[in-house]
Amino acid sequence: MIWSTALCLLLSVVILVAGDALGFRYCLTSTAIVVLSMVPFAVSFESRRPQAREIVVLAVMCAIAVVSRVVFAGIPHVKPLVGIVMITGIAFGGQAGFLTGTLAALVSNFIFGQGPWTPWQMLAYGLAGLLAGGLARAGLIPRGAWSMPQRIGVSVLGFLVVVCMVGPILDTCTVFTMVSTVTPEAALAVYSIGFATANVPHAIATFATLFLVGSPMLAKLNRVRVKYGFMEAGKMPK
Amino acid sequence: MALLSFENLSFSYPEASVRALDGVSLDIEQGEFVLLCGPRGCGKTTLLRHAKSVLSPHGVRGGRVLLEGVSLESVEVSKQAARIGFVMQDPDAQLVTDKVWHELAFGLENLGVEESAMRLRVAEMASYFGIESWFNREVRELSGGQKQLLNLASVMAMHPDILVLDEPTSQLDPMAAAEFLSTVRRLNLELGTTVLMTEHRLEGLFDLADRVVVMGAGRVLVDGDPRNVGQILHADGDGMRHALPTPMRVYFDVMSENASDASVPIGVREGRMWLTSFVGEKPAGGRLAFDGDLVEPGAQKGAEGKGPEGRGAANEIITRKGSAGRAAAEEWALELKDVWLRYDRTLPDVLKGLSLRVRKGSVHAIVGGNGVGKSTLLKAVAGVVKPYRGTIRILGEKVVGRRSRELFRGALALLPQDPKSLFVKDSVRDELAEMLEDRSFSKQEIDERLHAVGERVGVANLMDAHPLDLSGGEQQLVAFAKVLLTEPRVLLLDEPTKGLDAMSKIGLAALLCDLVAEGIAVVMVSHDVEFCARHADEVSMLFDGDIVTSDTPRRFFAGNAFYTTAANRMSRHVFANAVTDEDVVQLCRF
Amino acid sequence: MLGSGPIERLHPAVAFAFFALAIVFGMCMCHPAFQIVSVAASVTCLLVVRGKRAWRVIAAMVPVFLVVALANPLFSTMGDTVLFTYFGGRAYTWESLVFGASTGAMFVSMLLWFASYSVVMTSDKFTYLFGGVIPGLSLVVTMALRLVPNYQRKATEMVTARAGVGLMSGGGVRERAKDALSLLSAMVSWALEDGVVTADSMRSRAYGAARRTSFARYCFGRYEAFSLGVVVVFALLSMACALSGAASFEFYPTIAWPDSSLLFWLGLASYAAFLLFPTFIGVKELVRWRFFLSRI
Repeated sequence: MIWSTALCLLLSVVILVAGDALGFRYCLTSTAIVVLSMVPFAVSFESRRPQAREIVVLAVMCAIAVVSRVVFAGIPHVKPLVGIVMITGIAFGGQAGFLTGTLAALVSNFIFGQGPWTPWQMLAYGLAGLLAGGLARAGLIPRGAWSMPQRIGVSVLGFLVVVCMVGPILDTCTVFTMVSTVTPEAALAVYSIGFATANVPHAIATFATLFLVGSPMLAKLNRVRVKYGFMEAGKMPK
Repeated sequence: MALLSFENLSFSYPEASVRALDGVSLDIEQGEFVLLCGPRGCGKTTLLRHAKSVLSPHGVRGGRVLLEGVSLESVEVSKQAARIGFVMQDPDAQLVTDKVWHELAFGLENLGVEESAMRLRVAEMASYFGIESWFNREVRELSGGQKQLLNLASVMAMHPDILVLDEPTSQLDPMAAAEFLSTVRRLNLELGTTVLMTEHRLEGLFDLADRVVVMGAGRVLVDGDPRNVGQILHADGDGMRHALPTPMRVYFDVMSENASDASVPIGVREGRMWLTSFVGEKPAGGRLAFDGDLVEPGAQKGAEGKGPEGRGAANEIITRKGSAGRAAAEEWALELKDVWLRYDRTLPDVLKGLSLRVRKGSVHAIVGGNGVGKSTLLKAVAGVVKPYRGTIRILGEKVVGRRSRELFRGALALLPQDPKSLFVKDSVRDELAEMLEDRSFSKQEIDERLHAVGERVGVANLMDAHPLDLSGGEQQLVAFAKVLLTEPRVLLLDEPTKGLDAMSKIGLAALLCDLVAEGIAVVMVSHDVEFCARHADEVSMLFDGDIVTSDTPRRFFAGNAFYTTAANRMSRHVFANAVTDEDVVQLCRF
Repeated sequence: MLGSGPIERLHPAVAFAFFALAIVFGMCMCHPAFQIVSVAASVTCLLVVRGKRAWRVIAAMVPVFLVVALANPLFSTMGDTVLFTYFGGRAYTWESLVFGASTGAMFVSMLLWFASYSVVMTSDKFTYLFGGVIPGLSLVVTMALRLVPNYQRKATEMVTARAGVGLMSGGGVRERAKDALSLLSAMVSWALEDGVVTADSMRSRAYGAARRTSFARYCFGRYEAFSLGVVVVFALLSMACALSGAASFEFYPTIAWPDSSLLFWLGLASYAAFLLFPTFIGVKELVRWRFFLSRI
């Protein structure tokens, strides 16, 4: 994990410098860095030879997240996906959350079509899961049943995660691929259009998901974890 | 040396007071076909799972499991995986990948088999199992039977010496089950693959097995030749007796003390032969029919077709509830007239001008092959899908694509094929209470109702359990309770006996009997010919989107040559219209 | 029928290499001539892969192109040729518009390459290709791809089951969304319950017992090596020319067409040869079948 992280950091710097020197568009450089940033997670997961049950949990949660996107595909921007990825992170830890998010993005794009946005979505959804898992590990999000204030708190967190992190990452993709001359005004325009048209509805969907099904879903995940000893939260590194 | 042996194996689950296995000793010889049976909870599955280290449950263990004399724990995991093939109940959940070819190759990939060898083995398996034509398909496009065959094939691709099968056909319809079993038999006969299998549907299985082992309460009760075991089980008179194949049951009932091991018929063919010799001793030359008259061979056609008065009388003798209540039932509970339905404008019709009438207080069974529209028919009645032509009347009232709540309050309810699809809560109590949520009952009233329905269906002691922790039979009951809370007058059941063992079926039948006595009409779609013959008042055959024929079970099944009960198949050459084993026994005693 | 064309039959490694190089190089080449070649090649490739249905995708690219092109001068006032002014003197320049059009072409060709990629690089090719590098994660992807339709079917089954006992409220969008969410959460329980069986089935078939190999549905023979060679050689040649300055282009302060040197033409020709490779094998096969069929 440490070696792969260091290597990826180094490579990112090389790409950044080389891209600048050769006058490549930001699009290429930034996408390369986004892809590289996910490599350490993949390396860490693969290098510890995941057990059958870990594989199954990831596949199941990933599929549920994808189905949630498919079910609501008719209503634009209403995607419970991020909410479900966060719940996964809370229940099974940051790494599981991250991988569920990235793979859910990848798999859902096998259905909706791959594009330049795929790596960015993977990173954005993955980070949402990682963050939720990290906060749960730090004890800031309870893993058990939520009281009403906790329910509201976590849902608001979900809202903020989308508005402040997931949305802007996706908008950055737009900035780098679609904007010809990256100026502060152009970036600002993209971010504000993204905020108003996509990120706020998306954030509301995430809020609703966490508020309505967060606690019951966690209860269900916990039950299965206890019954079958699935992916003990403590056992997951990071 | 035995291929696989359990030596004085004991096991108890954590926090369980009773041992799941209690000193089980069993040797499985090379090439044998061993059938393991016993009531639910007798430890069959626990025993089977000990045949493979990775599947052995956690708990306290005593005794040993040996593979060719070597303790199983010291056999490498990859070697165990290859040598011992394991197929479980659920055809779907066992699949791992999304493509048929990948599923076949999955085990070999895990073993690290090298490329060219893997290609050959996969190709070989695909040909042997006749999978070539769907080799490139996605697994989701397969039927349940195909999925289970694929599970078997992908295990066989690893070239196991022994196949361990845990109720492999319980989720399949009879045709698919028969195909699966014949494949297993072929593997056993042609390749000499040893088979250890459990199953609760024993019909047609005793003649496959070399040995039958019966378990009860974690112990081996009987172990021996199928004929022999059958006799002991029958004499015991407990639940397992109902699970015996029909020919055996008939034989033991008829012969009682005179039964001898050598002449026990284990399949329909032997049953027929035995019956010929048995009846042959009687004076008559023609076929005995149920009204007690001898039916001459020439008169057979008329007798089976319309049914003369004598036959009607026969029905009265046998019919479960007598005819008094039936004659009064003037009104129809359910009436379908000329119903046409398709799922999409561009798709073909599923129901084609179907008409059907169901009396109040009766059980109407609808049988037919896969994909003839049986489930669609139920969905149409429940208003889940809308016919584009025709009328459906429930309790005399027209349903015009109505999906309002009142339809499901005190009128109609549909029990789905998979009871799990009704479950959304974390306890049985919540699950049931959900049905009363919007009906402004006080808490006490809700409790009373839950208690009443729990007592009635027999789930009162399960109230605090999680629905998904229950056995298949219990889940079915909970779903039933849930459905009953709508207080239906017309109850639609989709494959209610799927996956149930003999005892659960008897419980279900009692429940149905109870409901019918209250005047509730039950419409049941089923593949379970035996159950329909025994418990339905009327049976209809659905074919190509229309009802081909409707009749009493006796006339219906007596008229069919293939789609009929085992009792009828074994006796039709001597008795004109015996459809249940009781019929055959009665006529034999005549 | 999908999956039967010559491009779909390419070895996953060849196909992936082609699309990856086409997309990455497309982002590097700034010269309009190179970009036009890329757009043209991506259009023909999509036409070969998807047939008539490709036109709808291609038509959808026109507004995308226009938005990207027309928006650029609004944010960038660089360039000497002022077309008109607005907002009291803010300039809308020709150079910015052309630069925007160049970005638009780049973006559109990238989307079109991705559209072909999505058809050609099906999930099983993807997992085949990455099965060796990330065996665990690619297995997760494979399994998730089985589970998604499975869960969709199950969700429908649950909706039907609940409708059959009168439990679906069927109210407004908000009510329905709430129902859908709670069904989703209910699905988690049995999905993981089934997952236990799947995990058992995996372990019982030796998952994790040895180093995994991958079932090779694809042969890497001489034809594949040759195809990969063609793609890589022409791609590298064009890139070499581009790095030596063949594809450089100045938009500001005024558009300057560089002299079309030999290097430029060589670079452009090899770029075209590289990008038109799938179109070439597609058309070749089409012609062969026409010819063949006409003789039957």
